[in-house]
Amino acid sequence: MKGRRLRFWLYRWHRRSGLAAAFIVILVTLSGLALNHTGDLELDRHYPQSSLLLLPYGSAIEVRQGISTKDGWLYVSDQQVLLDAKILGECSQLIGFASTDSEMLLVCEEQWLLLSADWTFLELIDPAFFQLEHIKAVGTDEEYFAVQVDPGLWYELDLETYSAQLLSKSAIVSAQYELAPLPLSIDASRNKSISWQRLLLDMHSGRWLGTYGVWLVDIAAVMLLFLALSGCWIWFSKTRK
Amino acid sequence: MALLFILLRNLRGLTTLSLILFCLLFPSLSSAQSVYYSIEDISLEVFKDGAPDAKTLWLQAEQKQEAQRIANMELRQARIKYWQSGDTALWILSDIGKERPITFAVVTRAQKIERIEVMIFREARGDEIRLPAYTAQFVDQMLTDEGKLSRHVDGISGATYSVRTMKRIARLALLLDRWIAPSNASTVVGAE
Repeated sequence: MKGRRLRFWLYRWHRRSGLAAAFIVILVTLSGLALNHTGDLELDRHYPQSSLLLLPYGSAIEVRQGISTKDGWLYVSDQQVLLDAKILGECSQLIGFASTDSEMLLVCEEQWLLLSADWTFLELIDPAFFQLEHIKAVGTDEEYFAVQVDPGLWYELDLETYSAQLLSKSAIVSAQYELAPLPLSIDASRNKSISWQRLLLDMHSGRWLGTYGVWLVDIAAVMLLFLALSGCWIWFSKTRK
Repeated sequence: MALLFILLRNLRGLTTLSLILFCLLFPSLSSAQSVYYSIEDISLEVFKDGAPDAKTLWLQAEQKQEAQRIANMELRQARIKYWQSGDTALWILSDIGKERPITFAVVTRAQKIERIEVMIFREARGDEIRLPAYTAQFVDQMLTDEGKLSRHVDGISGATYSVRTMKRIARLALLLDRWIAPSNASTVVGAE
């Protein structure tokens, strides 16, 4: 009588444990199968780009920044600055962008590009000529371009004589465009640090689900152990009778 | 004691190794920008009677192709500014050395280089090209019919990229000087 009650209890909890651990067991099994064939599947050489899969890595992935204009996104790729797919010129790091009615100024770390209103690259300007360092932002003072060096310190640029003049604090200048994370449609292959192998290893161990993910996988592993033991008990106690 | 002796004996080597490691670990510190000339400085030296207003050379598609072929430089911009008085022209041109741009001032006169100076050097090494003994090799250089410099320019060990950039800039400046010659002056406009 006692044995029958124990077998019934084990049977009931065997089913419940199987259902509760199913999701984690499937995840661990599939990731384990894939990891067993890392070399053949080249998991260490390919990188997932899904923002959902990469969600837990957040700041570990470099999100490139660009500037959204009415004609498209300005961004740097391979030392060149592009407007969507059109190469405008060389640029190591994009700092800012401003436009007047007739011209546009694209400020990079080591070179500035003066552009016409229709995005024709007019002139390459060396920022060192203005003797201004650590430029934070670019704006316009009605018809002139201005750059911000420190908070509240704006310099008006004379692009004819390559000189800069400090603007009074009452002059109202603000950055016209701000740097913002590039949309995935442009920065499609931005992840080059988290490989499929790393992702699957983290899924397999539970780290992909965060701090409590490892404990969740531990619980699922204990449940799997219980399933094995209870399954054996149910099987052998039945065959004995 | 023996260990101390060995350490002291290799102190020079250790110091050199530490410096190399420091430069490798902190490359940004070893590649600071050096400004040798401002536009004002070089203009005053070149044009004794005062710097003239800047002129603009508008580049045609064929000229960009020629610059690519002769100077191995891709000119994407539509125009280049320069300063001219009589037949002396001052060009301020920059191009990537190994990783970062180097800015040069080239003075041309009658299709010859009169002077070349490094204005801003941003690379980690190779700034020996700015030394007068080296820049003197470019004086009186002309462009040959094949688009090469008329005389051989010696290289500098450890400054290969900077030397190449300087030669490219010299060829480009001579080409630009050819384009502003009176017979080709249709694409030149004065300062606005």
